[in-house]
Amino acid sequence: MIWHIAKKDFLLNIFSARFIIGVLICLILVPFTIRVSIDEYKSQLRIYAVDKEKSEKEWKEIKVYSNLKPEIVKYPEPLGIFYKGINQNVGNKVKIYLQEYPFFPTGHASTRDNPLLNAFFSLDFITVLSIVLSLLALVFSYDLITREHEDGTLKLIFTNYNSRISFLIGKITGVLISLLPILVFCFLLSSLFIVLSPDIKLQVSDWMRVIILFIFSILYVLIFILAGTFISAMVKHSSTAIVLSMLFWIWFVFLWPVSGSYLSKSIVKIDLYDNVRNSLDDLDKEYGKKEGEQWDAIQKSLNMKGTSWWNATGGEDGYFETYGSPSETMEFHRQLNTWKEPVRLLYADRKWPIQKKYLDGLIRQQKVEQNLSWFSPSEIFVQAASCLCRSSEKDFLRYMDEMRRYRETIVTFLKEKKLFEKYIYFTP
Amino acid sequence: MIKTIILHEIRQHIFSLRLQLIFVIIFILFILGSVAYIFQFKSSINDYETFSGKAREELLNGRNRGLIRTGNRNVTTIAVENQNYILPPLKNGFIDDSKSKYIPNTIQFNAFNVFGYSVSRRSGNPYLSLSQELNWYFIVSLILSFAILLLSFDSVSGEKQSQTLSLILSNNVPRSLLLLGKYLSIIISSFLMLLPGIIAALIILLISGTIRFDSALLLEVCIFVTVQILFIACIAALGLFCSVISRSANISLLLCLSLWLLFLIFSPNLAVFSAENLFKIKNSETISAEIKTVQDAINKAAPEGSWSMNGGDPFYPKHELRAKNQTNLMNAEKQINDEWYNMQFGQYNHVTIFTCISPISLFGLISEAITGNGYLRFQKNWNDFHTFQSGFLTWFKAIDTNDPKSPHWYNPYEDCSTTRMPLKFEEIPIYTERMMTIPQRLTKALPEILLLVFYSFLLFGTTVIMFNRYDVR
Repeated sequence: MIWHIAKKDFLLNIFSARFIIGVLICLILVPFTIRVSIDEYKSQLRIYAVDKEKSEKEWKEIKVYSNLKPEIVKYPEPLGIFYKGINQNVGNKVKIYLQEYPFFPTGHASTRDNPLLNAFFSLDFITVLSIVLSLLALVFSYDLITREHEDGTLKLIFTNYNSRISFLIGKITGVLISLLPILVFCFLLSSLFIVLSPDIKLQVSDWMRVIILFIFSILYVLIFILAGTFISAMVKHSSTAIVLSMLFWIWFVFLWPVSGSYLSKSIVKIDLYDNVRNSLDDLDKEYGKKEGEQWDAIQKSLNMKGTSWWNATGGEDGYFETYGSPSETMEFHRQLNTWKEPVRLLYADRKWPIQKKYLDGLIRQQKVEQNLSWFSPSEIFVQAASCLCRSSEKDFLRYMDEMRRYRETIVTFLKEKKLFEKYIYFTP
Repeated sequence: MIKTIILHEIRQHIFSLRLQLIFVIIFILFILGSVAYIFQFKSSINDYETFSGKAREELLNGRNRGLIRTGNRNVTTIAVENQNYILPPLKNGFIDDSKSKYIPNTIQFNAFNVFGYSVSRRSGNPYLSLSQELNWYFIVSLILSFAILLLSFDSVSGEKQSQTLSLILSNNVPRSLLLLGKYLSIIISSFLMLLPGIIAALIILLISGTIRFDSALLLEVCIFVTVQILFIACIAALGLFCSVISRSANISLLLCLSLWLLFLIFSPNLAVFSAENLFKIKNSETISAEIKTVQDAINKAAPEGSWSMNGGDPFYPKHELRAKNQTNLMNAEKQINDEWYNMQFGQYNHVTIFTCISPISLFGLISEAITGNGYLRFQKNWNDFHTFQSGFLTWFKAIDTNDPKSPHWYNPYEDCSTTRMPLKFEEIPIYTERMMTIPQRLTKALPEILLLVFYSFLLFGTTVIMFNRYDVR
């Protein structure tokens, strides 16, 4: 019986105007959205190639250990075509410094070349899907019961031996299988675009994730069908049901996410990053003063009246390189490095709590937003998609933890080999 | 006659469940948005004051970038120091902040050059999803536009379905007049739905004392409220149009929502798409490579000793070569960068035209102009900074010319061959933002306002024509 009801509703739905309009919306929005995302991904790949080449070139040119500052360039996430998530807010490369823990990636692979275009919030596939599918689910389900009631067919159905529950399940199944072709169409179309793009290569595991995403989408649609059916069962007239359904939709798909994000910014206060940066600069200033004193002290101990260099060059984060300089200059730098590099590491440890406090504030704010978003099915769907597309904040935090561990590995290496105390630290 | 129709329609709207529910939602949003804004504005002002205090302190005492120690502060160190100017938070952000957190809001400059712009990290938490602010623009453009469509989608098709339309038209009522009455009633009902929320928000903002309401701000509020009537009129015409082209209310609603979604989603995506495909500009890597090539050529052609320096003696002869070389390097970089920035402005302006197909985006542009926020604010500051920088340079050169201890070899990056006279903090030229005047803003918004009026007339005119041919049976 369930199947009969479902089949009847399915056949009625697929020849209805709402089905055709639904397909048309998807036909306009999905290819366009995917095309924009693919263009953005290609641009990320281009930037990745340039950054990678530059980073490798710099790596090969390293002659002294004081210039050992590897730069890790992150490969763009191909599943970001489906959902950009946090990747659109952060950079793509991390340089490992001794004087500071990796904090925020730099670079602009994920952001736009023209920052003025940030004014346009282009929506990705998952966001479009979450908006369109939920709308269609409600449009198909708001009159499941009210229409039968209005047409007087409800009584007729129950005069037979039909149970109310099997009628309901049949109706819901009918709407679900009516929406399935649209859902399949959206996923197939986007997959086709990806397959036809020669630059994009998804692994088997990535395709598995896309399949899971598809299953999640079915669940998401089902939730909105259930909501529509609930509204339909609660009221007597279709006109009331449609109004309530639409308000339900705008509240949970548009209003709640924006309100949650906005409220989280008001509830959890975070410091201005520039002020955090100033606190870190103050520590640098303090260190600079100490280094100056140590500079004079070592010169005094070596009875040097001044320092003269040959072929000397330097740069950020304590990079200094010289060859052919007088032996006393070399000794001076060896002693200075023996003192200063461990102190710089200590200062990095002192800076980290300030950075961590700021970071914790950001995460706390994000958690509040996330907790508020649990009330919205569309936000839950988007969060699940961000996990599947490896573009959630957890993925990013994990990546940054990995970078900090990598820095520790380099520090341990330099310490264990006692390289700070050696000439090869600053002369080839 | 029309008065009777309008009053009857308004009464019907007021007693309808949809208007009552939407009214409650809009009212709650206005209150919620205002309260949250007060907290955010207070916090951002405090942060900004701390930041600017520190910036002033650094300007006077020198800063520590990396581990480079700065020497004594003098006129030249102030002139050559690369400074950042961050645009301060505006008190009219509760109306519309025009995504100013996401677009460039920091300008780098010194006395010799306005180097570039960037988006400050202060702009927010990267872990949060990109979303709009809960301001008046958001409520009107998104929620109210949706509400207007909900009010208007069944104005004609609904009456036809319930067979009341034929009954009405059996009286001596011209069709156009009936439609006009319905149209005006939707506009009035929508405005009435909004007004209490606006008043409540203004009261909350006034009571909080965080935002000082002056005549300019009140004028902005009034203009925004006036323009939103235009927006309401355009969306109401769209709703009526959808109602007239279909025979069933369900289809009207679906058409309304489809168009609404297209305006909401298609428009920003179209902007990004056209930027990438139609108005493509050079990317940052190409620009960096171009700058490097030109600078390498300059350095190669520079006479020997162009990089020599003697910190203790400003008159060291090779300082002149060094100053010339540094100036050439800066000018070459500036030329390429300025050209690139102009391309970015051009690209933005071109793609913005594409978004004008959407009344929602159009209203966004008008709102941006009225509040003087967003891109327009940034561009004004960018232009003003060039005027300020030339004044800054004139100030510096005037002091340098009067200093007999200076060789007057202007080096845009270093303190080695110009005056080392000390100075007082009060004497340093400080950039002060000058907001666009109201007439300037209205002039900027005029094309978009006219386009919105045109859309409204076009949609309503088409609706009238179609309604005159509408089969009411």
